[in-house]
Amino acid sequence: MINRIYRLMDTKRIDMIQREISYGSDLVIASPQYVSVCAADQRYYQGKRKREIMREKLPMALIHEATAVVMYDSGGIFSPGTAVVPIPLLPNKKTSVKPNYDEQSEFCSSGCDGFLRDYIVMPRERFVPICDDSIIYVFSELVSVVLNAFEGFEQSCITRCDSFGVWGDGSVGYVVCLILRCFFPNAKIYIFGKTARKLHRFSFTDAAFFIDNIPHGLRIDHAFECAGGVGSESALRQIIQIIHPQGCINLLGVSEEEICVNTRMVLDKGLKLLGSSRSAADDFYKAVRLIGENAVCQKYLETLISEVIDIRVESDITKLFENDILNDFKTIGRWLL
Amino acid sequence: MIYAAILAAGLGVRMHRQDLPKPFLDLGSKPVIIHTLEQFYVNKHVEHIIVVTADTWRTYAEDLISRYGTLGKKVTVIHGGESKTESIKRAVEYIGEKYGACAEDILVTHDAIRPFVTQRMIDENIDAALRYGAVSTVMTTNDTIVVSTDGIKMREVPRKLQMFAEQTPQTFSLEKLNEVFAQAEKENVKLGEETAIARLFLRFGHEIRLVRGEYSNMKIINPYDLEVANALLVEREK
Repeated sequence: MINRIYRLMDTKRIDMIQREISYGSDLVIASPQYVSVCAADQRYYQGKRKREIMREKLPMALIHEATAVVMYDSGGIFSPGTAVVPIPLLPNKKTSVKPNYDEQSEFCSSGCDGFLRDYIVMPRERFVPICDDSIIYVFSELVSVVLNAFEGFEQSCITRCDSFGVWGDGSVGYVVCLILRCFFPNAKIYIFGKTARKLHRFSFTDAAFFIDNIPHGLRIDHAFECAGGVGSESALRQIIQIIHPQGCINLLGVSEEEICVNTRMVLDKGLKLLGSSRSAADDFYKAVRLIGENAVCQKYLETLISEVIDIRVESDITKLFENDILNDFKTIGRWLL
Repeated sequence: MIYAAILAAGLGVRMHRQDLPKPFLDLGSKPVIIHTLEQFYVNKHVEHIIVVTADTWRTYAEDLISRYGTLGKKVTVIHGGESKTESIKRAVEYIGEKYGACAEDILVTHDAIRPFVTQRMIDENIDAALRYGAVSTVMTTNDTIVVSTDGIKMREVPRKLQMFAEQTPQTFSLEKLNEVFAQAEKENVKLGEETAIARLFLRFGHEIRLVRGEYSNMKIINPYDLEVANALLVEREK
């Protein structure tokens, strides 16, 4: 079967290529319905990854946040038209660690082609059925990443959970705050950022603080660092300063460069730095369930959409990425190619 | 009901390989026609596919289709006519005899030798045919088209903005197709000599809507096209 794949060839250059694909037993053929741009995609698109990484990974199709519609399932489990969330992780099944951390696992739009293609052909277990084709499910991947981080946090947390600080007023920070609100309804949740109009959107938190104007004496039990990039270092410096002893610092922001960490204070306070990245199939199932069952959560996620772009021609894919650079939160593409 | 007619009755004269018609030549790991059919197998609207071949190649086509599987879609192979228009008429007659045509029935016709057709093109064809009754897929031309009646002297250079290259799918309501073929019969039109069904529609006063094609929706006509199509599918070394 001939598939069309839209690959990033070089910085800001996406070309359509055609490849023959096979669709043997246990494989499901689905067509993208909604695709959402992640900061990781933008780093490739804008050429912000290191040159050797760009050379190694490109050409490659971007996008790992998507919903899709089943066109054919050889096993007849999913009927045509079933709405699904595709899982970007191709897990190494012979692993003793969670597959999203295994070095042999592959990830769409990082080690292999992402979902910018006419047909997503993958094993059935990499599709999570959803109850309707609502656009909100395009955030399943993002929610699953946060749930994976929460799982690590719950396994490591030994102190009280009365207050949380979240650094980074972008989409990841937003979802972390939202999930914290769901899981810890009575805890104080503080968002720390630098853009007033973005901070205003965190209406469900207890307080929003500018990072250059944190109230003296403010303390938190645990923290989530979602700033990423160059902001990671200063965010960590502030977190280490105001977090209570034996608190957990959950690292979700990706920094391209190595950053300095005040390890003396980490040791003094007995802090835990918890890394988390991506998510596995069980996180996706939890994410889909959480979105489906929580109407309030759905409403808040809806407000995370900055723009929806119809993708009818190839140049609309470029428009999706270009507009996303200007948007505060998420840019979604409705796949009509 | 939405039917698709995959037109594969051409004998590949321009391919210089008259032993095997063009649709049955290999592209990548499969015959061209199988790639084309697969795009229709997974389409959510198309319910029944009619493959129209030259009579001699009918059983061969049946064997190929059964060997590669049809992903659960209903596929019938019938023999075609002298021209593409006549082959479409055969498909219409087959549907009429077998199922009886309803007013809402649609027939998507597509060249078997255009394996790079996309779901967008098929869906937009069906959508427009349901609303307007007759649709063709076209692309703007990169070349300037000139008119010459003798191939020696140029007679006219039409404005480029008004020129489009016609591709397939071409999609029609069965009701309109029956009407057009009845009118053609009444006026003694030789369908075996009529290569463009759109011309018949216009001749009898029917409107045809346009759907955007793709440059990649190429027709594999000659050895060069097959070479290009094969090259397009190959992953290059970094």
